[in-house]
Amino acid sequence: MFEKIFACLLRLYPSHFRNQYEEEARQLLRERFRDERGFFPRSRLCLDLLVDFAAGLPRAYQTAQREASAASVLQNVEGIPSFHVLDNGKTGPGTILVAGVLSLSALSIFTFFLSHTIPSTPPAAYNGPISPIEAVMQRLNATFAATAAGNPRRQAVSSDAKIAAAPESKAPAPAVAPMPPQAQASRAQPIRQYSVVRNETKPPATGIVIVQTDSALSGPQVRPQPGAWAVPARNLGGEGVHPTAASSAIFGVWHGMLRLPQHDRRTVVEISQAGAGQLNLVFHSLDLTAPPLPVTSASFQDGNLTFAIQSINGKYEGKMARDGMSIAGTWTQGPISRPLLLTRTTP
Amino acid sequence: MPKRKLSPLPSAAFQILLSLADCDLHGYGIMRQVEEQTGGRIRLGPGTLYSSIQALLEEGMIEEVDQPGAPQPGNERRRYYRLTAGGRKVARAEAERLADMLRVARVKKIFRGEYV
Repeated sequence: MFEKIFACLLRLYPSHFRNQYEEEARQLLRERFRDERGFFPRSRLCLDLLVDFAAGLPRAYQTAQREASAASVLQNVEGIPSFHVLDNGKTGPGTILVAGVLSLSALSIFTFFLSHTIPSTPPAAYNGPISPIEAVMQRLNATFAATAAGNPRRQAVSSDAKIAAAPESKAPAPAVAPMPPQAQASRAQPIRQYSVVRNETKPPATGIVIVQTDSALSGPQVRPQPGAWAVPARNLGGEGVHPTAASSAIFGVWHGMLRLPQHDRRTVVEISQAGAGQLNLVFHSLDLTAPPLPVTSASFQDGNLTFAIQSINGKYEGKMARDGMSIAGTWTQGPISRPLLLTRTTP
Repeated sequence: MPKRKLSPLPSAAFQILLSLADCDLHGYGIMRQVEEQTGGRIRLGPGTLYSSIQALLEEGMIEEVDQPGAPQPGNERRRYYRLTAGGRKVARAEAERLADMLRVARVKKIFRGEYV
């Protein structure tokens, strides 16, 4: 068996060497295996052959390369590229088969690693696979989720921070002082106050965020930074009704067609939850302006949706159907009033 | 002057030249002769043996000769090798170089004289 193995190893030598000495080398192997019998001589023979193979094979190819280089130098003409061929023998079918199998294996392994994501923890900073904006948003979302079951004050703080960290907003986060004990006591009261904070420097792509604050936090304790302003909004939750429970039915994307004498205008209203007791309302008039119109006040109480846009002197008042799939209301803009039926697009 | 492939002369090539100094041998005979003259320290494998033989043939230090006598069954393809005059000259030069080194080693008290 060993004789056959080492005879096969001889095939790894360059073809020039094999053509001249393979038969003699095989005969030498046979004679050595014939003469060196027994465990120790045979083990020593195998060790000799392994050492000889490890040392002789590179030397044989170095010799072949040197000969090929010398030949190419002789045949090389200035300016014409030449190639060194280490083996001048014909490529056999076994070589092609082995090369094909190895190539396919390498390709399969490469494809496998390409198609499987490597599990890793994305860093929260810039150097990760996510952008800095995504990292900030993820951190804010994680903070909000962690405080979702907490007190409203922390929710208001995180919402303010969210406004400040929005990609479109350049204004820093408003300074919010820690809640005094009186404010914690007043939080139990059903009276709530809402502030609408928007960025004046740029049209808000994310619309208006209605922030719920406790009465104790209003006034000097919530101070929007320059470039942002606050207007009072009406109570979204109503007496004795939790704001989130009252406004959750309104969340979604609504669309409708505003019929005007000259032309019709497509209208899209996006209402989402910006936090507990908070509404994020974005008003799009698709045929009027590309960016959303700034909503200055909004409320949803007992199925009645009301919001206003001061910049165009517009106001909408509607009532949600019992199935929660439509809102029938009236759009009033100056002296003109038109019915506007909003239909839910995302149930 | 182009550099010779066997300059400096490798140990295996020098041993092969020494083994062919007094008789013509085939590959297996060279391997056994080298093993004998080195006290079993060097046993040339087929790769080293025939690579060295190939280099020695290309340098003209040895040459192939016909098999002496009638070929035996199974040994039709066996080739014998003979030391050429150039090979003998190279072997002598290498032996003198080693002898010089030995003299230096003796002067330097590396050898105490018991070997030579």
